[in-house]
Amino acid sequence: MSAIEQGIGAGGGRASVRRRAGSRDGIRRALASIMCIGIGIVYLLPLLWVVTLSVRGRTDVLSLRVLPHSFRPRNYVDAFTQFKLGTLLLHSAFITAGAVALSVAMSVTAAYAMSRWRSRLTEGLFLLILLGLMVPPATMIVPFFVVMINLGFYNSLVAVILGEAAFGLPLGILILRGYIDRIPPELTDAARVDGATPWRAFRLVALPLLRPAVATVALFITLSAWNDFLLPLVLLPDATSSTITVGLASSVGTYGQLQPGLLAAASLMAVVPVLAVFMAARRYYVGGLSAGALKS
Amino acid sequence: MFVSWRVKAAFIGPAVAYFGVFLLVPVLAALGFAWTRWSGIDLAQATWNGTGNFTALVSDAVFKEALVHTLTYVVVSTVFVNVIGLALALLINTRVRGHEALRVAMFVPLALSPVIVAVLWQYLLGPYGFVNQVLGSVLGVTDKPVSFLGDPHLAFITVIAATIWQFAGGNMLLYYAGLQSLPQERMEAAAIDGAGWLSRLRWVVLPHLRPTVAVVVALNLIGGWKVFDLVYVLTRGGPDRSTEVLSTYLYEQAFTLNNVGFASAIACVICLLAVVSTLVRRPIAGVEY
Amino acid sequence: MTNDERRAPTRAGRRQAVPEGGVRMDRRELLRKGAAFGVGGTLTSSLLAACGGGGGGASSASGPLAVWTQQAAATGYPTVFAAGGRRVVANGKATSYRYTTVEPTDYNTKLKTACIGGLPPDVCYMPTDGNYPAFVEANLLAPLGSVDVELPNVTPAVMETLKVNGTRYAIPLDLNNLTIGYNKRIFAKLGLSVPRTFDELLALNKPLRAAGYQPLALPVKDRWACSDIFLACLAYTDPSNGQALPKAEHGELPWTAEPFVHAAEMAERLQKSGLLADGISSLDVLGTITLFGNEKAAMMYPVGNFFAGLINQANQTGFEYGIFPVPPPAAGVKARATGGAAILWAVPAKAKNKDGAFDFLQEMNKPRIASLLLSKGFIPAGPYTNPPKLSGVLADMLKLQPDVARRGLYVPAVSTALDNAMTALLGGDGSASDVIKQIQSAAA
Repeated sequence: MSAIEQGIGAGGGRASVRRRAGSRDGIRRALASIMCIGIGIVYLLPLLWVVTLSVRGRTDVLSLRVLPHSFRPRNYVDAFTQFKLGTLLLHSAFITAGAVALSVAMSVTAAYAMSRWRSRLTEGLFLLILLGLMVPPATMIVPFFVVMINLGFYNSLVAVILGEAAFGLPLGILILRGYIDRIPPELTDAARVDGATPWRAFRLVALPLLRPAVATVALFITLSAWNDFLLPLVLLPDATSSTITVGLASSVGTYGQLQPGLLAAASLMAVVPVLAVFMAARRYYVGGLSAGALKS
Repeated sequence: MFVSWRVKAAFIGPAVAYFGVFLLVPVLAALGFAWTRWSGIDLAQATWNGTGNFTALVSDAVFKEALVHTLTYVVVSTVFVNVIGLALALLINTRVRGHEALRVAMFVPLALSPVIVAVLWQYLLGPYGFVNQVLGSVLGVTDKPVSFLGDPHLAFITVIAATIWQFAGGNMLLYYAGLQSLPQERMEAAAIDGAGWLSRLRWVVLPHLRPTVAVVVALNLIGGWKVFDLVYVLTRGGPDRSTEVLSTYLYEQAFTLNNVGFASAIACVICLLAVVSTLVRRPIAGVEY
Repeated sequence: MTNDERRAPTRAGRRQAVPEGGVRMDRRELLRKGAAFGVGGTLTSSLLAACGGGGGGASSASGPLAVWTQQAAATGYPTVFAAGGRRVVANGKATSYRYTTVEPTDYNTKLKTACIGGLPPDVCYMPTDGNYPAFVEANLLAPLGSVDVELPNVTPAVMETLKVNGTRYAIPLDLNNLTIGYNKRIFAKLGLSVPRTFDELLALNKPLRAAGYQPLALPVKDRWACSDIFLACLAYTDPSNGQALPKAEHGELPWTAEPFVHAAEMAERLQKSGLLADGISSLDVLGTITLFGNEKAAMMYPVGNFFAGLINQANQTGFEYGIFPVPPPAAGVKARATGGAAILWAVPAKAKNKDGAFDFLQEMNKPRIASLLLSKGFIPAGPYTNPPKLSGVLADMLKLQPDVARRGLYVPAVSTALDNAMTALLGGDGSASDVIKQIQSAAA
């Protein structure tokens, strides 16, 4: 079986990749590589454009020239100091980390329960929680704000963490439940038969198999919390010590200043932390059922 | 296998309690205000309106337009995003050299915030933007700039294209995670039985992925019904309401016109459509394990 | 634990107790513990936060002064505000001055939620749209009758719009008027002169297009600018000198009355003449100013004091530009711009530091702040002594100020309907009668 065919459906990076010596296989692999890189570049062309935008000078950035006529990497330094990116990034990171930890912890156990021990009650609760994902945030923001005020949370990053976790919860449960559904009950049942408590069965059998799923969910909630705008907007009164989304939007509002170059530089810098999380999460994709659990 | 209700409650409790504290009231309020007439400013001024908002919805031309637009948007973008996402997930699963690059490339658009996306597409697709300059001066194909975001018909297609560009990577990641759990033995067994590449795809991979497809499609549909950020920054629902979707209309009603009751009625419709969309999970997933 | 041990049955009858992922259990454990810590830490710190900061605490007359507007630092406005804030602190009416910028599109959302939640700023910018009367009716703003300010530069028409039910709830800091900006270099090159009538303006289309320029750029995508065209025309089609609009807002005049119909027809002529730039429906402020600054568009609208500074930034070749108001339909009629307050202050009813807020308003309208405003290119509402030698665009704007006609509709439903209808009209997709029909049905 060629490596290509193996890839289309073979899982597990640690499973040995059997390579069949032969030029056909090599050509296929080369073609696939070219496709990967080609698609990647084409896909990123708009972003490459943003990069060229971010190194333009002040007037050049508002010109209509396709290619830049100036080179001003100082934009990055300027953007960092002018928009206080250090503070903004720190706040965003703190909020996102907290929200993801909180959200994933609650989602994974709840999704497990809703998948394993299905009943009308759990289905109902599932749909109820899912409503949190379906209702447009614009209609929820004012009541949500009133709730937070009454609970005493305002003007603190913790308030935003609690909010982001709340909005990430339905997403996490929906995705995780889907992946948990596919873990055969025999595995956890086998553990239970041998006397493990449901919690141990969950922790020792199901959780390791869910690594890719949990990593994916963590990534999605990271994205949702990192790029969220409404919540920090209303919960944190001061834009300059808010999150990066609010800070950038308020600093470069159309009536404020026209510095698309700085905005481009700042936005690219804002992508870097999320990208770092993504790269770190990569290794969690490895593993899962491919490890031979079904050798029975 | 018997599990006591206490254990079940312990598993599901934290999430439900958290939801109850933080999200239950906003969700009920968001849906509940549909039965009132309220300007959104002073709670004491909310008055009961029965189904008045809903009857107004049914006869509202803009709402119907927005509904049709949203429906088209949801269907078209979901199809493309899933086909592209799945195809690319299969591609990167081959682990050839360069697959990492593609993975990162597809991910980056997901991490962009709406602010920069707006500037990005304005620069690229505006009347004197990058694409028009290439089409005009470099390639000499057109003599008048193509109004990607200004022409009522083109704007809609542009919005859908921008959506696909930004979100295909997410689907790819979800499918990739799903592919990790496909046991190698099955593929080997199929190969031993003489199945070719395409057959293996059809009879081994896709059936295995059905539950994942179900969840991903449901996610796409739900996200599609309530899409707001991208449309708002690109076109604000214009030109001339040609890209008006339910959420942009809702936003205008709630925050510009101070018509929260009506906006909540639209929210109810969005919610209903999303709930119905989650029901597609069962038929797509087929028989569960 | 070796691989074999992991695979070996720990209990009889079981082949795989723990899959290969078992060694990563530690990391899972870490995640569990981390989450638990996170939750615990979150709850504790939030408890502390609730006790400490948060929304509680008795309001003190001399606390900080929080001011919110839409203006970011680069406009120059925050420096002026800060000068006023420093005065308030010096007067002892506030302990410190805190300024926040909120982006225009989200300003209403944030202001509303803050007011409803009981944590509004002390002084806020009030957008000149329909939300102003809505806020007043919801008792969200404090009456400002007791604030002692002189506003000699504000015309009576504009003053009237600041009163709701006879009481003043907002005070302008500076004034604005909207005009058409034109590229002097292009005009000189083509031998064109500033149009004195509407027809002359429309006639500019041919020579400009022939020379390869877009005649007039306008941010149609940001719908408010389209309504401004309507109101600029209304200034001329209203024989009662500005009475039609307030009367219609109060229901004393139907929206199908002559002045409005003629104004819509005038705007329709503008669109039909081809004067508007190609692809205008997708132009927003950034796009409009970029076109003008790159000399692709010979004219742009609107040019008020908010945009003057931005145009200078976008100016690629250093060309000189001038302004003129939307010209009158007939010769001999005085040209008038539309305008009103640029920065409008209001004080939320639940503001914590009302004394500081009122003091701020008084300080902001004193001559020393007025000179600061002038030096930055803004037109003060308050009195100013020793007007500096002004030239160029600012001088022209000052000259137009006394005859300014009102801009801004104060009925939200009608204002939005006008925005949408005019956007459609200028985008080429509607007619004058559509506009009238829509605003009439919105008023119903």
